[in-house]
Amino acid sequence: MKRASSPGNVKKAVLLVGSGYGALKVAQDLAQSGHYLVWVTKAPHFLELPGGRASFTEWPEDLEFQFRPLYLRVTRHPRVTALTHARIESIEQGPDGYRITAVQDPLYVDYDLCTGCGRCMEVCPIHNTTHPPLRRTPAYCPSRALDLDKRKPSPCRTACPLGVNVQAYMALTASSRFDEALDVIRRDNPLPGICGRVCHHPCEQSCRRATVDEAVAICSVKRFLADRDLSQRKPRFDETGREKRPERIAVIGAGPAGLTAAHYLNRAGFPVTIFEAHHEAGGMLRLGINAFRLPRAILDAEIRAIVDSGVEIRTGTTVKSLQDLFGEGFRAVLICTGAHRDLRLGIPGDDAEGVLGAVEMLRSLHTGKMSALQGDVAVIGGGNSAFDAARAAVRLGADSVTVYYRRERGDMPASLSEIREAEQEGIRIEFRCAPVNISVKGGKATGLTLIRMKMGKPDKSGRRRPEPIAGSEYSVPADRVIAAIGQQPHLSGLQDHVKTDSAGRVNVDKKFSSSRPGVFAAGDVVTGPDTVVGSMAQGRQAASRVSAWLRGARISPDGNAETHSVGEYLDAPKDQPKLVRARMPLREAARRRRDFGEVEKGFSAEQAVAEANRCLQCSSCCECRACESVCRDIGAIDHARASRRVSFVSPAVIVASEDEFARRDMLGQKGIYRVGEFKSATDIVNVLMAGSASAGQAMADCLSLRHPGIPAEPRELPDDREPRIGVFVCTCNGTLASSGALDRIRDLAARMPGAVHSELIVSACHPRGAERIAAAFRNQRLSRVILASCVCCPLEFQCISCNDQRNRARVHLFNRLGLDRCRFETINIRDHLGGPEISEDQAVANARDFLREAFLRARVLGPLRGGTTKMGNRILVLGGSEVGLSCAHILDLQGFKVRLVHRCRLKGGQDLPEGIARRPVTDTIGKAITHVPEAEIESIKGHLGDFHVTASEGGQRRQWKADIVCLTDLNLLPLAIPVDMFGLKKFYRFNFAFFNTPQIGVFRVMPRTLGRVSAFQAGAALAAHVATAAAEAFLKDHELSPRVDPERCRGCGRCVEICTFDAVRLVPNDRGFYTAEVLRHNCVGCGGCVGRCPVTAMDMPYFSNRLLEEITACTLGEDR
Amino acid sequence: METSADMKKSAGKKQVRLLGICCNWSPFACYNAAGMARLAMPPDFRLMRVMCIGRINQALILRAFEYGADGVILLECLDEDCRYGPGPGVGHENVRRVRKLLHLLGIDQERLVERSFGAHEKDVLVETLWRFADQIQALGPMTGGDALGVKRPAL
Repeated sequence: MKRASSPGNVKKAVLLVGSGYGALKVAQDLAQSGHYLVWVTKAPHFLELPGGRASFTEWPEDLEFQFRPLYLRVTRHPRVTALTHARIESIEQGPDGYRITAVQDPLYVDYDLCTGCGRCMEVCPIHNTTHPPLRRTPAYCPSRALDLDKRKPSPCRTACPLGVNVQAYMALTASSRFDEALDVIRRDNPLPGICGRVCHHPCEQSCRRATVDEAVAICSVKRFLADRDLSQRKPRFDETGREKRPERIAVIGAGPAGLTAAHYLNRAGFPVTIFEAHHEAGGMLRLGINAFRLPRAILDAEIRAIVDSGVEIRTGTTVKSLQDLFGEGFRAVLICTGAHRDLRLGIPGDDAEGVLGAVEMLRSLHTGKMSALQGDVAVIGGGNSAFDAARAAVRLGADSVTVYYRRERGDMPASLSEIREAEQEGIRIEFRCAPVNISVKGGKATGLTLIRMKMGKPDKSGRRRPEPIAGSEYSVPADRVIAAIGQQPHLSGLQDHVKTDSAGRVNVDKKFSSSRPGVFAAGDVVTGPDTVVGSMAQGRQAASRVSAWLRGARISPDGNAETHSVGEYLDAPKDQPKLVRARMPLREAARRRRDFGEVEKGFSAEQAVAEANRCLQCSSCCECRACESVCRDIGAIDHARASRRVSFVSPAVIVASEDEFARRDMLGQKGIYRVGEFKSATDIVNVLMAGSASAGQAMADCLSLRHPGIPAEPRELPDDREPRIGVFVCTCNGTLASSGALDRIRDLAARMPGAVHSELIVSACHPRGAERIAAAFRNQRLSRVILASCVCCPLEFQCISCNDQRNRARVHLFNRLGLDRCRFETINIRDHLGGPEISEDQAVANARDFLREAFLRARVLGPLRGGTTKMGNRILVLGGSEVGLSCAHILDLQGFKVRLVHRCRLKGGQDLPEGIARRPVTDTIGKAITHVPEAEIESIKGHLGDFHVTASEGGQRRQWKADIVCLTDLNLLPLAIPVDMFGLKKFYRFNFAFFNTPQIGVFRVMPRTLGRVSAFQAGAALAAHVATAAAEAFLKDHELSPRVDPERCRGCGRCVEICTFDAVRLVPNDRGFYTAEVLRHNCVGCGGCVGRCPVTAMDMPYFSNRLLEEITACTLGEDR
Repeated sequence: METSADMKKSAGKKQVRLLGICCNWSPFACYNAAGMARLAMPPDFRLMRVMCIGRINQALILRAFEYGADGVILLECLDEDCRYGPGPGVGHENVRRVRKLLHLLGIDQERLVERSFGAHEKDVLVETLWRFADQIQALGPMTGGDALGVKRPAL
């Protein structure tokens, strides 16, 4: 779309704030009289609807239709920057006017590109809900374009350290689109099957469904998706469009952080090698987590997927020297060695045989060094490691297993399901107790002494600090004491290479860079023991830092939605039915405690879908980006679009809705005008009138802003007997018909006689589509074009059927790319080919009928507009009441040559009644106004741009020439052709211009106008209207205005009789008769005179006599 | 002339040719909105658009019958809605006179129909077109005109 005012390039413009009809009228008057305008409203569209109606579908349809052309013309006017969903950020008075910054919330669907094909709605997983995020927008009503409702990112998504888009995969799962759902997860999380089992799922803690009943079982749904994928195909990652980088990167440690970092570095194009000390990759996932929670098949498969996508893993390789790695050619090293060293209990006896750390025990188990465990086992701690150790001990054959924890049950860091499952397996948990001593006999642990604790004041973590109760010690037998009180990193061999803190953690800065350049660290080795997903998030962030460091680039934001948080979450409906959270099926406790087979069985597809359906879809749009994929050719949808900021200087501000203008204190200042000071009750005409009045007042401040346009001269259509016709079929992004039908229609068109080119284009209203047409037009040397799309006609004006897409296509083709309008024939096959239910054959048959007619028309096409007439700027204002004075004054300020006759009388007519406000005639009003104190008007002859007014001034006869005549006193109204054009229905006939008379260029002020607004405002409105009429300094012929054949015209005058626009007159010819002549700039192109002419002496473009007859013959004459 | 294949295709239903002459404003807005709403139109209906029904003269209406229309419908704005003023009045006058001529030609006057619409009455328009199609279907393809020398050229 050609917008004169793309962001940032409007420097000076009038500011219009608010929505509504008054604002529309302001915009029309200012834009059409040559002023640049920035129109800002927080509303989703520019028309505040009458009577509190919320949508366009509710208001009188008839009325809506009448406003369409005006609305389209104004909102798409090249001088108008129209910003919906926008607000004024700042407004300050400066030396040259108000300095204004306006901000528009991000428009995720670009109205300038959207073709309204609706494919995005078809693929949106939450379209058929009570809150579909994609809706037709009223912004450019009438338009097909869509609006995307996006709120701040859902809480589950922000809670996830990896930022996995939970809402999106819930939405996709709910509509059984499992593969797409998994792809959404994989974007942010390369290990979904692992996280689906062992993640501590902070997403579920933040789930807003809990306010209705229970949180959605997000983690289990994820597991279902990953398992389903594993059972169907090998996990894979999308390899397309990846760039290749030369810099090799070494990652030390193949745990969750290392694997994730390697994955994202690999995706960024770097060759990555992971060094793993153990003989299998996985780190803590393999060594520290039990196989009955995370089956090794799942772990292996997901690691293999990462290896398959190009990451090299060297297992059984301990890195001893960073220098060696750099020597080997690695450009960066990322240390992700984790935290594998158990913290010791630090009590007497903790060095005895049988006392060991949880990680140590699990490592022995998972490396095959431990296969059985007898006796009583005591586990100290309350985290997942404690329970992993305890549950492993049960399976290894321990006689009894007890977990000792120093706080309350609710304080345990382990997940609830794990605690529950452990208890089912016979594990006892003792709360509020801490070990103080381990009894040792013969170097072996035999028992444990504990002390009871009581809960004291809350500490830094917000949990209550446990305090020992003196004298409450007690002893229990324990052959094994397993300490699960935490781990710390141990950099075996590397600690001298980088700086570490007292707890053994590597010191890194915000960019994950260690003390040594090129060496980075992430994961537990930096943070101390963390969750799986926390480590993965570290790995991912470090990867982007390493990547940025190697590229020497600044880090780019993730595309994570955090940057655009507009709007609150959707509220759950009050009557939301309560639904039970799906329960994870488990193996029976008595059986599962005997082996290491997986405990949780996973959801069935039905369970997963039902559970996903419980998601409230808090953020409306879930950002699954399915819509982007179908909009790729159009490019209208962009989920990461930023808000738009427009700064400019405005000499005048017009406020149409006061509640949108925060600086109420400024109202009433010079240069700030309000729409809406009415004399009587508000009705739509009053509002329009008030809008026009404030536009007129503002114009007086904005002389420097006026840039009248000059219409392009029409080009002649060459007389080509053998036209070269090109046919372009708009597929409307593939929705116009089936692709088979479209191909057949294209081939059909190519075979039509005269066709030299036939092509399918993605969209005619899209800039690229129009450019394709223009390119083919040049390359194929086409002389005529048939455009089969939704565009009904190639003409310049907009009618009540027009919409934004049709209008845009024409603006692109004819205004932006400069193609000749008169070479085009358009057929609306989008809306009239038949619905989606018709067969391919029927669609092709219908298209054949359309094409046949179009080819006929294309051959008969003739030139459209004849030309332009230069117009001056002489305004004659008759009547010096308050109305005339304000009108003359404002026009004078705008540089018009104004002659103001203060006191007028019609010849033989009445004097104006005394008592009408009238100032004494002075030269102080306006610097260049020619004042005439008193005159008697005899007649007004001529037409817009060339009026001759005969009058007598002080007994002397005068002939005044004027381009426009304004009748501002009531006693002058007989000078205008008396047709009552008020009343809404007749009003739209004249483009909502209140002052028009049937004689264009003679404007009048009716008594009822003065009943609507003050006389001063009426004068301002009249001035605005005059400025609009005289804006272009050229009068355009109407593109459809008829031509007269003087050889055939016999001067009967029927054409003059029928024309209500004073556009036909009879002029004497040299044979002593009269010949009709059309004043083409007065003409409105209805063709009434052409139809009326008894001898076909008149004919008009586009609807010519020959054309109508041939079309009649063509559509009827052939056997169908 | 209808071919035997056509006769077979329409399976007993007499195929008639319908022409609508449509003003660009209210009736075309209805027609357009009906298309966008995917309302079904009578199958043999063809539309010819002009800016105003006042553009049409009697000759053109008669030409339509001459070229083989079995029914012609003039789709106009309501009298008070005309953007240009005289349109519907001209339409009424044309219809009145052409009907007389049709009578003289031996063509059923019912074959020429005139209807007015508001800009939003898409359903009314579609219903009117179907009723018009049924009406002409009931009258059948034109025969009276043949006797009087009305041409039905097969292009």
